[in-house]
Amino acid sequence: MSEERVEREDQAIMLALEMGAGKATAPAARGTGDEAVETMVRLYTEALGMMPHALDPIAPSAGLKGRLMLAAAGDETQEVKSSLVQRSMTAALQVPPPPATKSRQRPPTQPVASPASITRQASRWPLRLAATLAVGLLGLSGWLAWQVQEQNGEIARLRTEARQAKEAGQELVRMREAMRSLEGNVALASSASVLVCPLRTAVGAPSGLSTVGMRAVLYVATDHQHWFFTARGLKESPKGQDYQLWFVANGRPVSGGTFSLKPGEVAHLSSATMPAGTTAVSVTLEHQGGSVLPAGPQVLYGDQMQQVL
Amino acid sequence: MDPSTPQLSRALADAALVQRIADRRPEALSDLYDRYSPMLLALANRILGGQAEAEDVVQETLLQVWHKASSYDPARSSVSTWLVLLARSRSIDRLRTRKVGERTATAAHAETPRTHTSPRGPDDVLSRERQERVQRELEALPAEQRQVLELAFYGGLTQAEIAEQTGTPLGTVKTRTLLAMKKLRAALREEIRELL
Repeated sequence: MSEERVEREDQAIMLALEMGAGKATAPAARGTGDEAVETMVRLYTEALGMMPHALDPIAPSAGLKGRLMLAAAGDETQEVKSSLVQRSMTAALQVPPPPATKSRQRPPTQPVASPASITRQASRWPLRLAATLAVGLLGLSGWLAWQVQEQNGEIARLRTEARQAKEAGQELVRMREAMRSLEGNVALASSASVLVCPLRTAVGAPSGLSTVGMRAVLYVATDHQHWFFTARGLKESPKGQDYQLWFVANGRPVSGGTFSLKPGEVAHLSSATMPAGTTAVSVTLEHQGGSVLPAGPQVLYGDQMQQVL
Repeated sequence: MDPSTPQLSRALADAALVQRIADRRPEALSDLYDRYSPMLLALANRILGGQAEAEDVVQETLLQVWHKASSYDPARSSVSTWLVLLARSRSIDRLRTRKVGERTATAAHAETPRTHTSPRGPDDVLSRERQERVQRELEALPAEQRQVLELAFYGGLTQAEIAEQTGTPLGTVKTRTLLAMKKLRAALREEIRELL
């Protein structure tokens, strides 16, 4: 291959690459005047034009075709309208002169347009009107389909938002209740003459259920009825088991409720009633849901009620 | 239809379709849309990296075809390539309005976005064969040659811009581009012949 041909081919490649690369008009589009180069530009342009065929085709959204046809139909209607206006103006300019003038300008022997040709001209109007209406209807149907799709999408979005708002409302109610309970417990724990009973790891408790920083306390109000229990640092409750709080009153255990924990969680239990004669508090590990009487291993125990304020 | 030359027949059918569009036949525009919009959408999406904007490009491109069908010159390119160039031009125009950094990220280095394959008609068996063939030939190019080709075609970058962006000497970029184009043209000789 001659050097000159190589140079021409290289030139053709660069021209092909420039074609369609934005608004700049490529020189090839204007013609190089060199037929051989232009032929090569064509071949390389076609090679480049093949590149997008390697991409996975993408299905357009359902409304795209409708929008396109609507836009095209809208333009067509505009063109027909302007054509009609132009024809009307032309017709107005070609209005024949009054009969008296006409009789002077046109001899009586001049042929007059036949009724058939007048009918043919007149008959084109309904066809054009029908064509315009058909195009308009096509566009309108596309537009309506697009509208329906848009509205369905909007309805789905609103439903999702409504569901999320409802869930957020329910969460807010739960949080308010938790806040109220917490406020009550804090008021109890900080009230004057509150009794405090610290719980410690029980003798013989299974190893590994409490951490080094474990802290459990029972707060009892002065009425000896309202109480609030909190435990921090207890390990996650084993699978299928719950922790259960017991009040030891008159030598008999009375359940104060159960709780389960996940890693890092703090236990909170509270109530407005407490067995009379409570002298000690204990936490045992029971089967899930709790037991009527303590059956599992004792984890925490406390019997030192103190008044700290 | 001659079954031995289905692509050739398709090229002729495309040209006839454009002629009917030039005659203001909306159904011809509808047919052209059905035939090419998935490929044009993939192209615009590859350049712009977003389907919504890519759909705008496809709509504008086909609307331009609706208005300018009579300007189509079959001696310059096949209908398929004409549409590709129109869509590419519009996409790159949009790309150039963005910041340089954003363009680089979107056009040159972003992975091809996840796509949805459109429903395939009987004609599309041929399209799929062509897709596989072009994919194979592009993948056969050395990585550095394919990179400059994609930066030039999908990124709309000049040789100098590619050299700057990749930190490669300009002469090397040109050599890689020329080699890639020559290999691609040779590999796709049959497909190109069918379009002419």
